[in-house]
Amino acid sequence: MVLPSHLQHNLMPSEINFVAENELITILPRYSMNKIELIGHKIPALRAMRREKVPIWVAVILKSQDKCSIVPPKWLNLAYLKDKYEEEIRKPQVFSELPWNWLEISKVLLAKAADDLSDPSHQLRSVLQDLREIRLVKSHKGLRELNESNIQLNGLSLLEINELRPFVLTVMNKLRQLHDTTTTRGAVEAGEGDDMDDEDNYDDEDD
Amino acid sequence: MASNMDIDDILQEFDNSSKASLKKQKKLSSSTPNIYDELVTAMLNERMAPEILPYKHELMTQVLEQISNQQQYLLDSHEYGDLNAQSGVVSGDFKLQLMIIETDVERINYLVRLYLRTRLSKIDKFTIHYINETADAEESNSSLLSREETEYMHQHFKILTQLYNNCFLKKMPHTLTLLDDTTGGESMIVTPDVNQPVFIKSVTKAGIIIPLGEEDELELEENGIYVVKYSLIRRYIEIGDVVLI
Repeated sequence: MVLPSHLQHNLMPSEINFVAENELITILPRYSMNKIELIGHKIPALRAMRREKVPIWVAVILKSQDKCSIVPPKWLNLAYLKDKYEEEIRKPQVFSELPWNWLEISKVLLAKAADDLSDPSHQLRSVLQDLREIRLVKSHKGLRELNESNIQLNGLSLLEINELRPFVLTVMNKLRQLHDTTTTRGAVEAGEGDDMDDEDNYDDEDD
Repeated sequence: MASNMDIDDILQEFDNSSKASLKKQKKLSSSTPNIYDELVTAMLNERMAPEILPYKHELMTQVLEQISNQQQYLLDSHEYGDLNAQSGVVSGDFKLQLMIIETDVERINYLVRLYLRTRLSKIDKFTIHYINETADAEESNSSLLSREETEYMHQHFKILTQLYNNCFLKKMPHTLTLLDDTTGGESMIVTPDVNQPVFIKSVTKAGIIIPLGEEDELELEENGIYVVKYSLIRRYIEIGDVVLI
């Protein structure tokens, strides 16, 4: 009741968005502003044309008031993303390294600060979408490797993990239950197993 | 001459020590993660763990204190703004700053609420289990539940048993009315499933090696993302080498 069941073992995309907005980003202020002491983070005194790092949500507020322009992170441009896309194609087995919240951050920046980005936003959107799709296909292919004890998912971002989570957890839980029953019964059925093997051999000889 | 040397030495020493202390301070401020990030981690860990994690006493006192400080500041500033509205002392900048602070308080408020709600949902689910667990625990800064949570748990259980009794338990044979019956091979107490797989991220430089049974082991690299059984990495969450995601 306190926490609806759809929230209990998974995160909402909006919550991931929230977490991503805490990351720091460089801004180029247009006006000066006194420093602000926030809980857990201090925003330094801003001076015009002096780069500073602030949380994304602050940058978005300042941007909406035309108080600053946002310096896009070094991975958010066409050349870099295209490179990554090609890397994804070249290496079908691994995910290329992208920032932990690349989807969320690019989404926020494309929506709120499109004019600060170095490339036209429709091109960026399309290459981001390409990247996302190829990674989605890969992660779906990877589901074949699921087993009951562990898997490794290096290179995936939080949002992508979150998409996989409900399926992966249910499957692993089921596999674990099956595994548990086989290990506890294994000892009992060992004798029967031998008999089966004998029969197989017998058949083979007949052929 | 000798005295000169001494003074130089002393100066040198002073210089060095002040530099060292500066460095130390810098290191401290950069290495202690700020309470905001800590709260986010605590919330995510709590959210993804199948069982309830020890209550973050220190962190929560700090956060709550900071929130009330900021709220007081906002109140005072608004009062100040109202008083000086006509004279034009209050600039748009000042208002913008207040708005940013307000947003910050709201954001952290939301995190605190989410953290507590997640904990309450687990207390609801595993009431009897945690009543048994905390039965002989003393109230301290390392206890599993906070004082309010313990109180809530007992109240909740009382109301629940009353409801069950009034609705149907009084019409049942006495032997079937126990809510914490463990006879008959099946325990009626709902306990958290600690073998559930969870998604984790290793955040320590030193590799962690966890046993997988049958001589198999798995080494967790820094920043690696894995899915493993919760019971295997439980103690690493407590020391913060591993975070749930």
